[in-house]
Amino acid sequence: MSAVTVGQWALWIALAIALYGMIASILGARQRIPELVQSGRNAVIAVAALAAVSSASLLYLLLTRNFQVDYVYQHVSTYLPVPYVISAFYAGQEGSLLLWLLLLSVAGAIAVLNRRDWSEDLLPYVGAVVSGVAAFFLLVLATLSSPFKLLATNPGQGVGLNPLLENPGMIYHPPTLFIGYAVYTIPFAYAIAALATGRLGSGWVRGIRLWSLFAWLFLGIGILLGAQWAYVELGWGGYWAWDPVENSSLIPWLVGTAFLHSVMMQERRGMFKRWNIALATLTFALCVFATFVTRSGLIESVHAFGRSPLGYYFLAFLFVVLAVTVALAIWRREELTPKREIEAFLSREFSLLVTVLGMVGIGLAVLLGTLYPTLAESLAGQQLSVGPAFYSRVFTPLGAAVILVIAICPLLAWGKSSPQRVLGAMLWPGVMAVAFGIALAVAGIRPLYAVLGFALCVFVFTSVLVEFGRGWFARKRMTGESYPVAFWRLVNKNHRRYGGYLVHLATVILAAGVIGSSVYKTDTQISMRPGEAMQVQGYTLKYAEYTVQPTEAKQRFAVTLEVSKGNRSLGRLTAEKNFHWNVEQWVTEVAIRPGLVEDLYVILSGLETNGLATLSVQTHPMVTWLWIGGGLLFVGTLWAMWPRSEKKRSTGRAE
Amino acid sequence: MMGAVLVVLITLAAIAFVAYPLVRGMRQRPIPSMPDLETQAVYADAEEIELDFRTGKLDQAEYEALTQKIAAATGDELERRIQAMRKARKQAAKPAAAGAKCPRCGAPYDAGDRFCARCGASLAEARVCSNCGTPYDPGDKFCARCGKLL
Repeated sequence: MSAVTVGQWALWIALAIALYGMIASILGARQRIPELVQSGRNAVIAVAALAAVSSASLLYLLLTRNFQVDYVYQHVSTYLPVPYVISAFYAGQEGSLLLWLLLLSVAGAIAVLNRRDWSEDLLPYVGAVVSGVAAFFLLVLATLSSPFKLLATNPGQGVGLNPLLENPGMIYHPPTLFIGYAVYTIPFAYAIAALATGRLGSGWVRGIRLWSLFAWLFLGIGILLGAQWAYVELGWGGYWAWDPVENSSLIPWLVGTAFLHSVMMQERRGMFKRWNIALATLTFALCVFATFVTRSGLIESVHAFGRSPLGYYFLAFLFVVLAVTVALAIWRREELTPKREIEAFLSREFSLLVTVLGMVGIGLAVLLGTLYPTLAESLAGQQLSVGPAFYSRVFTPLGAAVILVIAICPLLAWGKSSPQRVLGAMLWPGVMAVAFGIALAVAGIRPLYAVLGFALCVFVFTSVLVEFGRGWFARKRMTGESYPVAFWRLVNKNHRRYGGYLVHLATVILAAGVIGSSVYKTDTQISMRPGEAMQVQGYTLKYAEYTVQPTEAKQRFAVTLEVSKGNRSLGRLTAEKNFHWNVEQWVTEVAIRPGLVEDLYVILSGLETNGLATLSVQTHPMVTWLWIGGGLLFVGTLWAMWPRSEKKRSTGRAE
Repeated sequence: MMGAVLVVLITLAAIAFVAYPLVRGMRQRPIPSMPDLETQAVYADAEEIELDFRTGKLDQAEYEALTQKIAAATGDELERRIQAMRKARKQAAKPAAAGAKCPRCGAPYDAGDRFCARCGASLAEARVCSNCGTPYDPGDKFCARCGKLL
């Protein structure tokens, strides 16, 4: 049981060192004692190392399937495959918090080691904040929610992972999200450091640029991976159900998006200082909130509070985070007062303000919808739920507004733009959008709001392409380079601008996918006997065979269909619905045939012993667009993050 | 038993690592330098305005007004740097002069001070390349960044 002792003690030692590190860093920075600052920096690194020791201990206990450890007993069984044993690390609350701590402290260590002349004064405070946040997680892990609690005897067999979690999604989705959550600590730490030192200029926003892009990317990709997982595994017939856990990951991403844009204002214009402090803090607080919601069950019911004091710990921590930020901001209110005003409505500045307000607005609306049932329960004593209807009513107009701003914002210049120029730039996108909308309407596509939505997407898509084109031709004219060279040098000269444009394109593709898949979904219930064939939504489904078979983990029920469309065979699809012994629960395994236009999606609802199968045959149009948009989002963000090499930078300067 | 031994070893290692700078004292390691942020922002502004003009987002009048603003800002920036360097050189010549002021924040300092007590700026002569502004070490013959003879 050495691993249990080592793992648990590493947490206690790390807690002591984190508390020391926080005090040493602040004291060292305020009294200008470099030895103390260096010691505080070493404390951040030591906490990361100890978190790694503790994590390694837990991983060892999981892999050796030591069922006397409660956490291992709850999440692993003797027949669970090794990849899922590793993923059991973060299947429960205790392990998730440990993963948070590990990622946060490693990111913190990298941040404090990355010294630059402009960040030298900020770093002690960055280290202090990282240590403070780590101390909170360590306190929770060491006392309330330790993954190293022991059972009185070794049960010999574990409960195992929830079968819903036995999907490759479990391996990629949670860590991706957690990286996003944990890394958002660094921008927050820089915000506090900027407030503490009074260096509220462009230094700190520069320090966090890569960190916030990195966190934003992982959060976004994590959300999409989760959506994909829900789509293939859960058999809810969708990738997004507006449930509290999904929402709680979306909210920091939305506010983080606002933050990415407001940072630009401070870097380029020295404006939005207050916004940046507020958004960095809010994004971090929402990430902590999301972790807490995911693992505590708070939102499903306020009674989760009664079960464990964990809820109060998290609320107290969030309160401290907000109180410290607000107090420091009031102290620094002079330095935070904007020195410039937005000059004109038709300017990049104003459109960025609209973007920020839009993203924060959507984020707050989702937060309100997520919290409303809990608030209503605790205030009015009534259980109320907020359904998808609420979200689509809020999301549709705000989403459309944000998409429209994506089209217009890049067309505007900093300072002031003349209306004629903006209208001129919107000519081609407008013509394309109207032509596309009319074509859809004439082709009989209904309802009209969906047609409008698609036309809006075309408008934005074209305007981004036109932006690329204008820059490309302007460069070609200026330099006389060949077309491919001019294009490459253009996008390579300004990674942030063109990476951002790629992300805008990705957003539009995602938006089109969301419109298509939510408006045109079909669902047909059918019953078939073996050998029968049926026509559903233009597909011919032939019932080929069925299987009823017990295994160690589950009773398996499977139906295989031969699918064709017209004369073209589309192969075989196997839909399953299995009864898992360990949790005594049915789990559906959906059969999907993906396509660019639509996915064929078959759920087995019931299978009788004589082979009579009840199936839900659904078509989900344009879901593939979400994954394509996600891929482009990834590429675009990476491009925006990619540093320009020294050589390129100097030639760029010489031009 | 083995667990206890490991715990003791880990604890000692962690404490030693954290306490090391306090015991050993501070070794000043050079911090990687970067071009001045304000200058970079001005350059970025200039590039952006150029592209905005070339892609037709700005007309001739707007473009000229903005570039004049930028030129003024860059001019100020260069002027500020030259002044700072001149001041630093003068101060290096007579460091004990009463009423010497920090080149960065203007706070007065005493003879023999190496760093400004208020903002922490170095009070030694600013050794920066006259061509590109990169700091250099005493004894360097060429600028490490632009290669200019120093």
